[in-house]
Amino acid sequence: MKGITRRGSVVLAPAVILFVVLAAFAVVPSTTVTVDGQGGTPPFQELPPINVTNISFSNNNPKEGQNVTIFVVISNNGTSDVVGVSLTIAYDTTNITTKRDITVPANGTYMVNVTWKAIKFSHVIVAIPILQGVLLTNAKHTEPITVAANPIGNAYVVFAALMLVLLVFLAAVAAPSVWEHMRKK
Amino acid sequence: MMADIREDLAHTALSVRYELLKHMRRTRLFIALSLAIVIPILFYIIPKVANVSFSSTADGYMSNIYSFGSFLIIISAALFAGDAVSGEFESKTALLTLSTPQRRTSIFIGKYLAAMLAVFTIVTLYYLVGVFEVVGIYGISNVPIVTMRSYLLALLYSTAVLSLTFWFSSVVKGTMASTLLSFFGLIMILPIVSSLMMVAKVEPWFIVTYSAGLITDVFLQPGFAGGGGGGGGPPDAFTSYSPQFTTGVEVMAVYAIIFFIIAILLSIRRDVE
Repeated sequence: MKGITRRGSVVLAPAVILFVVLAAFAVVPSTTVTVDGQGGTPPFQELPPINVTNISFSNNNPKEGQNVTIFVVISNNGTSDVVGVSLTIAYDTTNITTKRDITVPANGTYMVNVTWKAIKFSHVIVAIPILQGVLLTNAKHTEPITVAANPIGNAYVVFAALMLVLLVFLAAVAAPSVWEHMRKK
Repeated sequence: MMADIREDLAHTALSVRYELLKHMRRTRLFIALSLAIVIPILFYIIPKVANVSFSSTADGYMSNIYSFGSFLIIISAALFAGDAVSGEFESKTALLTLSTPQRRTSIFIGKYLAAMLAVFTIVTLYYLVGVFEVVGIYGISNVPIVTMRSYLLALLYSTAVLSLTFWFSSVVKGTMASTLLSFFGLIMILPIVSSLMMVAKVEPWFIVTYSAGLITDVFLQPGFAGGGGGGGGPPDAFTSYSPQFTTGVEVMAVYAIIFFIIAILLSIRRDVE
C-alpha cells in the first residue's frame, strides 16, 4: 500500500510542478515586444516621428554593371533629435547595405547615399529605417528602377564558331585521302 | 595527295547536288518553305485581324516571331536528315550508291551538306520574312542590329540539330524510327530533361535545346520575359535559368562537330543486311 502511494506521488509530482509553472506564466503579464511587420509596433511606445521621404538615383536609366548612387532622405518631424537610427537599403528583397548610428535632427532631414552596381531588369529599391532594433516598415519608402541589359553576346563569336564547324566538315571530306597518304608513307 | 583531295571534294559536290535534287523532287522542301513563310506572316496578320496592337518595340516583335525558330529548325532537320542514312539501308539503295567508285565518307558528308544547305535556306527565308515585316511596321531604321546575331545563332543551332539527327539516322535501322526519334528527342525529350534539371536547381548548360534559347534571348530588353524583381518568390520557387552566351555557342559547336564525326564513322562502317 505504502509502495503504491509512493509510486503515485512520483508520477503526480512532475505533473503538479508543470501545472504550477504554466499557471505562473499565464498570470504574469507578457512583456514580449513584437517587431512591426511581424505583429505590430510596441504597444506602449509612440511611433517615432521619422520617415524615409525620398529615394533618388544618380542615373535614372542605368545600364547593367554601371555604378548607381542611391540617395535616401530620412525626415524627422519631431521636436527632438532621433539618435541611433539604422537604415537598410535593399533592391527587391536583397540587402545592399545597412547604415548605422544615424542622428536625424529635429524638424530636419538626413541624407544617406550608397553605391550600387546595377543589375539588369526592373527592380524596386527599398529603404527601411530601424530604431532600437525595430524595423519601421510604416516609415519605409520604395522607388522603382529599370536597368538596361547589356547586349547579349557578339556576332563575331557566333560567326567564328560557325566557320569552325564548316571547316571541320570540309576537313572530314579530305581526311580519308590524307590518312591514306600518311599510311603509304 | 592533292589530286585525291580534289577528287573527294568533287565527289562530295556531286553527292550534294543529287541530294538537293532529291529534296526538290519531294514535297518536304515545299512543306518546310511554306512553314518558313507562313509562321512569320501569321504574327503579322493575326494582330491586324484581331485589332490588337503590335509589340511596342521591334525587338519584342522579332523575339516573338523567332521564338518558333528552333521548332522550325528541328522540323526541317527531321525532314531532310531524318532518313538520310537509315533510308539508304532500309530501302537497300545503299547497294547501288555504296558500290560506286566514290568514298563512303564523301557520300554521307554530301548528304549532310545537302541537308544543311536546305535547312539554311529555310532559316534564311524565315528571317527575311521577319525582317520585311519589321521594316513594314517599324521602319527600316528600327530593324534591330541583333537580328544578325540571332540569325547566325540559328544557323549554328541548325548544324548542331542536323548532326544529332544524322547520328540518330546512322544508329537506328528504320527511317520512321530515326525521323521520329530525332523529332521527339529534340522537341520533347531534351527540353523535358532540361526542365527536370532546373527543378533540381541544376543548370542544363550542356543540353543543346537549352542553348537554343539564345536565338531569342539576344533580343531581350528590360521588361521582357526573364526579368527579375517583383519582390522575389518563396525560396523553394521554380528556378529559371537562361543560357550563357559563350557557353551556349560552344555547346552548339561541340554538338555539331562531335555528333557529325560519330555519325559519319558509324555510317561508313554500317553494312547492308
